[in-house]
Amino acid sequence: MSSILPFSHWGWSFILLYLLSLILIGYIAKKSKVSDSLEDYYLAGRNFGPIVLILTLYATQYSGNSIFGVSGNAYRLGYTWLVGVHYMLAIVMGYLLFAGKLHKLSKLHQFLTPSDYLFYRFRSKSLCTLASMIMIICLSNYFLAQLMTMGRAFQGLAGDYGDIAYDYGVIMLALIMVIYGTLGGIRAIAWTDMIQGLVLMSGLIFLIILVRYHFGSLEQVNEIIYERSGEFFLDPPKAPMLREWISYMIVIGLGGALYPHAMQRIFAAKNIKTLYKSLSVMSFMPYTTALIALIAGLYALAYIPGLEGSNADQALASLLRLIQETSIFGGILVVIIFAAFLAALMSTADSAMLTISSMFIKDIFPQRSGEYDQSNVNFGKRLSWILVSVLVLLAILLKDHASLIAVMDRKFDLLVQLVPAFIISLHYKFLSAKPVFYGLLFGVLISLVLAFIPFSFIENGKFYGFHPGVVALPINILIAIFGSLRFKLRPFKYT
Amino acid sequence: MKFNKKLIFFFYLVGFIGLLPWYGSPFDRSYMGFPLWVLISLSSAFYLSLLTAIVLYLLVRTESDE
Repeated sequence: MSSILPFSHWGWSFILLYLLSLILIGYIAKKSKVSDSLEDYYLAGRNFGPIVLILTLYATQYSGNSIFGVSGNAYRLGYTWLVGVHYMLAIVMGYLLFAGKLHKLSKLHQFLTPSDYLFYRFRSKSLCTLASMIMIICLSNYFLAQLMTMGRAFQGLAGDYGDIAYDYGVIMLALIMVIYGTLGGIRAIAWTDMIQGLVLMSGLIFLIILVRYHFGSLEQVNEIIYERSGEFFLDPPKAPMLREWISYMIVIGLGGALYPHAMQRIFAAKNIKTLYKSLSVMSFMPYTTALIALIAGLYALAYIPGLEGSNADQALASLLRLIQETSIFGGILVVIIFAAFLAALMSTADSAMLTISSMFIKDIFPQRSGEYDQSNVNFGKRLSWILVSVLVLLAILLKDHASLIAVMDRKFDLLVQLVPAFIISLHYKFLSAKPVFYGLLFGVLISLVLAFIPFSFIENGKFYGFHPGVVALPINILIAIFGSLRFKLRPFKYT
Repeated sequence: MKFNKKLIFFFYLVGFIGLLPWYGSPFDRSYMGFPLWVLISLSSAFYLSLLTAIVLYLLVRTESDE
């Protein structure tokens, strides 16, 4: 592959060594298992300390999309995409609304998947199944986006050989990920997340130093952009984009906090203090990740003009290629940064993979007896292999379609509909199953209709600048609340 | 320890208002690296991060009080 991608043999050796170390960690995690239970495989015995929890939350939350997507949108829209920093911060504030209470209940009632909470709270199989299906669809979509970004990372570096590099990249990284993920379960994933989180953070710090060294200050970047395109990329967003900002903060702030794999990390925290400490560190992470990706996108806009449409998602990879060509020192650092981006992609995708398999076992195909053993864990591993194979195929087939951010938008439209079921139900005891079920169903249907039917009042997939999910959410909440008040069922008692 | 939720909500509201670069913003381009409106919005974001960290610190303290 070194003839395709412009890394030296040393560069490829470093990347290969890093990827092989992930498999080794998977093997060590397999040897470290405490029992053959689902709880040990999917939640590591609910024993994550603060360092592991911070880095696994960080590596999971900051996906390939948050780096390549933010830099791609900064390239398309300029400083207006500052909202990429704000919505990542909004996710942490979203956690404040429910994480503490949910963690306490999960310890008490041994939740494994998010739907376990729903069953405990509402005793409704139809609600649990619907919520699980929505979460599985969203996570699969998310997983697919990560795989496509893996391909794009290689595509951007490979220049004329981009198409072949895309296929190689997707297949190779997916294979490594499924091997370590199925070997050691969440323990392997959290440990690799620790390495991936550290590589990602240091890689991004290197990146900002490197672009500053090679291309000059941000002021010079602004001048170049201004001279070429006027004020469009530098000015504050006008009213329509401002509505989009608010919409992004709501849809990603709440939807991102309700990621099923993030909720499983809430369950896996050692105790509530560990969880709160980890979240407080997370509230500063947008500045070391999303902000750097935004700045890198602006440098790409100034120095690599002409990337249009979905090619703008390759802005960062193209910037790296340019830096690498200028000096040997740049080449070494680019290898480290490239490893960091692979880390961001893989750490998010592996968590999604494991959570999907846990939801299939526990929520979609539950044991009638309620007893789970090693055979269920093995079934989960086989499911992971099947899932990864199908999504790799889709990622290759869809490589020339859909910009990354378009894929990302639809997922949050659906996830945000879970707000009444998970967040409001934790605070309001009168909420009952049927209204929440119908609220969720209508919320999802309205989101999908607005997103996919080409109405004249829908512009760029949004209604008056608001995501379909944000438009549907108030209707969903009203059905859940007024339906529950109308039937006046006995308030739920937390035990 | 008891929280004054209204006060915390007010502090968050102030931060959110600061995040948004309002339509017709009087701030022109400024070559201090970031345009001025970006600096103001980023400062508000940092304020919200700090506020969140403080709220979480207080929650940790509350847990130890119980």
